[in-house]
Amino acid sequence: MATYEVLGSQVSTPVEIRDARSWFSTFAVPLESARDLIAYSGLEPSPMMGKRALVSLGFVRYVDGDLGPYHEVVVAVIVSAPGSAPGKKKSGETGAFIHQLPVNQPFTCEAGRSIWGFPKFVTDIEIDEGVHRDTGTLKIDGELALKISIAHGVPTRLPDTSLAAYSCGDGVLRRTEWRLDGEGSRGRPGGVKIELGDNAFADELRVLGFPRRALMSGSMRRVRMTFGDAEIVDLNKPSSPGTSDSTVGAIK
Amino acid sequence: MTFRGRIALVTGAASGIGLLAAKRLAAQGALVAAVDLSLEGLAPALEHSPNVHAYAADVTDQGAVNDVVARITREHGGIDRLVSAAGICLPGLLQDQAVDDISRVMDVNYGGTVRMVKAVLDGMIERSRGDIVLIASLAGWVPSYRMGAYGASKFAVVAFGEVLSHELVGTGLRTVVVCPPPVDTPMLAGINEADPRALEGLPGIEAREVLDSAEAALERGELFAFPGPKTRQAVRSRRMTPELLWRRLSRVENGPSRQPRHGAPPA
Repeated sequence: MATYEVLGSQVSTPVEIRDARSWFSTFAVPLESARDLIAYSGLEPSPMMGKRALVSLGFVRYVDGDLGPYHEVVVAVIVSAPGSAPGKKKSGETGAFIHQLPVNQPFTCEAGRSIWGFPKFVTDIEIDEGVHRDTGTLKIDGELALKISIAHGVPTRLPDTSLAAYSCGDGVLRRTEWRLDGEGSRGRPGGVKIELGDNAFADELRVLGFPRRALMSGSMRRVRMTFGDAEIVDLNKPSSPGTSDSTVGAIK
Repeated sequence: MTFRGRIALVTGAASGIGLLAAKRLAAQGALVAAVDLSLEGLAPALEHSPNVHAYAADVTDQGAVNDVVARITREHGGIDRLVSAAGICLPGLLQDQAVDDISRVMDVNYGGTVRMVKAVLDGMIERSRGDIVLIASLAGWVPSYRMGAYGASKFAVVAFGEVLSHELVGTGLRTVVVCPPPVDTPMLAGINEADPRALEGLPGIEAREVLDSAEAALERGELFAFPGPKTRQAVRSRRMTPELLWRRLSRVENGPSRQPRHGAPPA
């Protein structure tokens, strides 16, 4: 693992998040439009139910971690791991491609861009925890871009997960090992209200058919995460099967 | 609640509830003035958080409190939220404790709250905006053995906050008095080390629950927040059946089963 210099202080991998609260929602969108959206990465969305791809929208409140306190909004597409046969949904062959990752603090923005090539940028993110729903509001240049409102689901148990997070900053495809566990999971089918603004960020989601109904949504009261080093992925090189040990939903 | 560009002052920000409050407000985009006794102690609040600024001040020193509030206001602007979390606890039986120790707990916990509130209040009233979050305690409702000095100081904070909130009706300010049971913080570890019998058998709740309940109470416009599973129940039993409560407490303390009567119960 390595140490990086970020805005005058040292950050060592694996980066640890000791306390965060997260909300997520999953949507099935047309496969073709998801493919167009992430074509720049060279990755293929993992096909679902025939002509569908899975897109995840979420927001996170980081409280205690190596990158400081901040809020984040995530737009991710579930992709087939490079080199795996598309269409085969076998464990070990999917990952999450991070397409958008706005944050509201400069330190994590710089760290995320420089260490992992994550598409972070600094903007305004509010998280409102209500009596029945929690809402994440993303504003860009002071204007609403995306509002995700997630109903409180019922208590569920989620397994500890480890997944491959892909990013494509400056045209370089990277893969990062992302481990996550936590307590206080809640979830339910549907349960999401999406509101879009009038800007490029929102238009991207409109192309995917947003605002639309979610397959499922949920939250986790206390999340711990670790992020390893990013490895550069060369799509022209055949991948060795032994490297893709991370999967969505794999149980440690 | 949007906090981007707002200014928050957190006392006791070096550890425990104050530290978490500072980090959360920073995550929400507020500019946070983190106040504690020493700048060195505030290092955890500053970590990778460019919008947290450290200020050293002793809340028992009126001059220092006025100076630090003036400095924060000058450097960043008027204070939109005060989180008064600075506090100490010296557990022990009142008959064994020195007058100086009992007074010191009162001076930090109650006096510190009063000084900070008074230092920010005029500015908030002038701007018709501001949140006052006072970290009191369940000990401010339910007195118990070995927590006499601490309980007295928190009873004082509860009364101060209650009266203040009624005086401030119509000003646009919001007040919440947070009354948690023991919280898993360095202070709790210190109490258990200094006098293991003081809070015997009570596991601490998480600091995040305390802040969640404070936020919820502010949003709902409620004066008191009672985080934790049985907190309201404890307050009720103290109000309705104080003698029963003390008989139970005295068993833990191996005291005589015959306890002082409380006179006519409150109607």
